[in-house]
Amino acid sequence: MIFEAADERQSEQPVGAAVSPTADPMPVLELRKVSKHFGGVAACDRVDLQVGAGEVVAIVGHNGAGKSTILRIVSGAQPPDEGQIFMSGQPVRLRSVRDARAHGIETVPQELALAPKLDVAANVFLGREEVARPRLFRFLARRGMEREARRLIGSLGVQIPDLRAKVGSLSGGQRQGVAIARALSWGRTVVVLDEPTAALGVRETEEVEKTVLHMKGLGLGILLVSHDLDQVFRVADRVYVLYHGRVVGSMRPSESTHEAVLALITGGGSAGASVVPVAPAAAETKAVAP
Amino acid sequence: MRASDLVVPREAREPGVLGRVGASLTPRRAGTQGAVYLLFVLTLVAFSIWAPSFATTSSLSNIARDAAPTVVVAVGMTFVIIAAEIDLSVASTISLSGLVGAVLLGEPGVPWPLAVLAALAIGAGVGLINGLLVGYLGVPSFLITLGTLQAVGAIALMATATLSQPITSSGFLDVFGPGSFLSVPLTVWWALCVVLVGGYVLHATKFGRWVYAVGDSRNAARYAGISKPRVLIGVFVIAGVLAGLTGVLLAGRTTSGDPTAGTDMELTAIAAVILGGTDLFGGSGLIIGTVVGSLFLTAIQIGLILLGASGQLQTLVTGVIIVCVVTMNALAKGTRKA
Repeated sequence: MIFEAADERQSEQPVGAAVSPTADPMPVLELRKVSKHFGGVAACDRVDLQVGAGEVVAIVGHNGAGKSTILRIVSGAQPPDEGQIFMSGQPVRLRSVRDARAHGIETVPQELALAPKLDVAANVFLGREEVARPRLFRFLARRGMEREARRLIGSLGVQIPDLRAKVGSLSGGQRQGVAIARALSWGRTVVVLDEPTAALGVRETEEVEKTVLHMKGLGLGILLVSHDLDQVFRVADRVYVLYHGRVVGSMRPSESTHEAVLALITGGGSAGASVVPVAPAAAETKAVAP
Repeated sequence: MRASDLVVPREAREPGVLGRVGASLTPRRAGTQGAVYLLFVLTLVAFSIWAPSFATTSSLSNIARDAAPTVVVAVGMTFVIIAAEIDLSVASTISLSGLVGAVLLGEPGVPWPLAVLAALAIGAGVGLINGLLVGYLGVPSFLITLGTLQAVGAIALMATATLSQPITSSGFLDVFGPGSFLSVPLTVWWALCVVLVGGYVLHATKFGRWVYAVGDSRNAARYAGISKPRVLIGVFVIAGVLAGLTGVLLAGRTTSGDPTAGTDMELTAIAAVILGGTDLFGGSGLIIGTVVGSLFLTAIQIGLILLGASGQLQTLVTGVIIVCVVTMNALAKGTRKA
């Protein structure tokens, strides 16, 4: 019985036994037994997580289940108390956003962190502007940056007719596109997206999802935090379900159902099972524990 | 508003010579700002009609000469305001640095360039104090610079017991004095240099871009890895040094250091910057706008003098114009939100 297995894991935590359904032998990002405590509360507890190249990995769970803690750990904003992080098999320490960036991890925060009065190209290159040749006067390479921004945004399939438009005048979907283009130009290996479509309409959500799949096609590992289960099932290759800071399940949406995932989200694989009748679906669900 | 509404003809967007400046000139800004420029031109025309002596080379040269110190201090203020801060202390910095420069010029054995450097260093020092307190401690710049305005002003008054200090150094006066070079007043040359260098730093360098970013969105700047404290120290030091230079220019033009030379110039500078279209809440603005704003304010003064207006009337008209322009800008923004 799968839910018993999950319970067992909570009590025992067998070492090195984390089985992930990823086919990639060398994930670009791997968390092993990563924990973070606030006071006596474990915001995330011995979390194992892997993201492969060209893979969209979603994290789902209730508010307070530990999604944002994991996100902050991966983006370097909040170093973990325990556990190890590996990038392409190499152990790394992510003590700051700068560290994470140096390792090719770029995070798109939920509020996007764009400068509304600056234009699109300025936002894409904010903080790492390029300098034109000859470098003597250190003139900004406006044209070069604009060309590159145009290329990045074009490659994402986002429609922004005028790159000199102020970002504040763009639609929500276009702004998300700018933020992702920005992440794409910085993040070489992993892009972390925090609720990328929370504020968007249906059509714009569709566009952003297309963009996510496009990034996947570029071979980037994508870590997606989303409340929208339909979205997760549309774009994610694998889903991790968090419950009270623990990973209680990891499955491929193609081999699972909404009900199964929902049961894990609400019940953490134990209490919820009795409330929601999910027995057939749960059988398809692969638990992390053996 | 949709992005496509913002499309402007390519030729309007291609930067020209001054023109990396033009990059942030969006049509919306060109709209309100165009209205201010139109008002400026209309004012010039009106003065030319009512006061026939207004449109002569000598009075235009007077406008340029009188506007020059305002331009210098206002260029520094442009940096500060685009970074969404304010610097009220420039007035006292102008007074103190001009005075110290004048005193040092009177000392035998002090070469005049050293006196000028000392004056600029005072500006840099005041700017550094402002920048450190605002940048690292996050104290509102309005309060900090209000304090430094008072303190530095008091030091200037105490330094020479409120007496002004005459300047006789011929070497100094050859460069900063009331004379001209190629029939253009020396102060105008200095202002021109400041505008070119200021425009370059603000519009064409990384630092300039970061000033906009910090003023526009502290959060975006933080995520982009831009150091807010460093940028703020930078803008306050720039404002301080340019205030110091303004003090030197005023001392040179009047051939004396006066402990109240800069009185009220912080307000003139802020008015020039805002008239020039810079957003008081940071994140947008142009050096060239500040130049136009300074010329505008000075042209009004000179025109009213030629019309025989009293000092109070000049101040009244200037005040009314500032209220009108700022209201116009606010209304334009209001329609944009709607």
